[in-house]
Amino acid sequence: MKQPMISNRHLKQAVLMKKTYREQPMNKEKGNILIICVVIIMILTSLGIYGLNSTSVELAMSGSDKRESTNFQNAEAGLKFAIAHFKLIHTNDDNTGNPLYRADANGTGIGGNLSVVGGQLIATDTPAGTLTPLRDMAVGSGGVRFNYINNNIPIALIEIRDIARNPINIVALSTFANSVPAFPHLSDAPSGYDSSQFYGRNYCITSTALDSTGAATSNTVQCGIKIAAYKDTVADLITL
Amino acid sequence: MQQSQTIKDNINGFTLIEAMISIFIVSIGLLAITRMQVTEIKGNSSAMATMRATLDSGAIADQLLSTNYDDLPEGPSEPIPSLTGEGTTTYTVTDIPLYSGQTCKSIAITTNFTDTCGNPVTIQSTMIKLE
Repeated sequence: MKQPMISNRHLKQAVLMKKTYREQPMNKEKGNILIICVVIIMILTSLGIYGLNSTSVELAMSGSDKRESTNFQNAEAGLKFAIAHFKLIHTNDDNTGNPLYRADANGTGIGGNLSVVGGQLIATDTPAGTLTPLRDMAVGSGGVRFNYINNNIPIALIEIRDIARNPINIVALSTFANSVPAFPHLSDAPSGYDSSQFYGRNYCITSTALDSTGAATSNTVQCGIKIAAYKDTVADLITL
Repeated sequence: MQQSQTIKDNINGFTLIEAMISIFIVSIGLLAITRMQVTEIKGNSSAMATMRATLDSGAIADQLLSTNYDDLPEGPSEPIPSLTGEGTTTYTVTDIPLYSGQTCKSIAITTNFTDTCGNPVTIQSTMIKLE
């Protein structure tokens, strides 16, 4: 036979070659789907995380916007409340002969809680002792503070101190309430009042919004107020 | 010949299993990402409703500030629908008597909104109006 013999050994080699030829590309492609999957998932995950991030930023933004708006309204309300009731606060009289703000248990406090319940202004702190009315406090160091609570909803922390030529820092009041201009406490009577009978007395009202738990927030508004006071009721004007 | 056939079969089967596992993994990943999307959409709609409710509440407060003092009768108001129709604002006027026979008005403003996912958003604020 002239035909070349294909030995058993040759056949084996051919099969092996075939095997390597067939398996080589499969070996190379084996991890590709997995890698592509991982890459796709990573891309989608990073997109998702980006979205979640922007959502949480947006939630924080709208939340603080809401707080800011509510607190601003509350601080304004506190300011106007204090202006509307300034005479009562000034004389420490709730219009029925009872004190409006009282000393705390130690007798050293400078205010408490003022509430409006059903349209009526009442003091709701513990009646531990009476406090000198703001009217009779020493000029330069006179101040009161109290919480304004409207039908059990905390609205604002109201701090009132006098404006004086040499204002003394009142420890119980906040830094904001103590930052008043050095300005004479007494001035001419406001328009409409007889200047032979009345002084103008200058005070500064600081109102800080309270959140729903009653804690002070960072929203503070401040205004000055000039009131007419009878010259003969100003009991204690030491340093003018 | 027999051996070669077996090897080919083995290779085909492996790719199928690999593909199935990949699809499984990808689908689990996609499920998680879908869940994330749902959270995002909910958060966004809540944020939008809060923002709109805040603006609405502020707008009503400004409107009340410029309203004539005598045009505010005591008691709760009619619910005012918002421009975007997602909720209403109600205000309640309470007269507070002052020492000199005058009054000041305490106005409680409540804004109730519902976001697109059905969750409520409520904003409450108080303002005082002087005569």
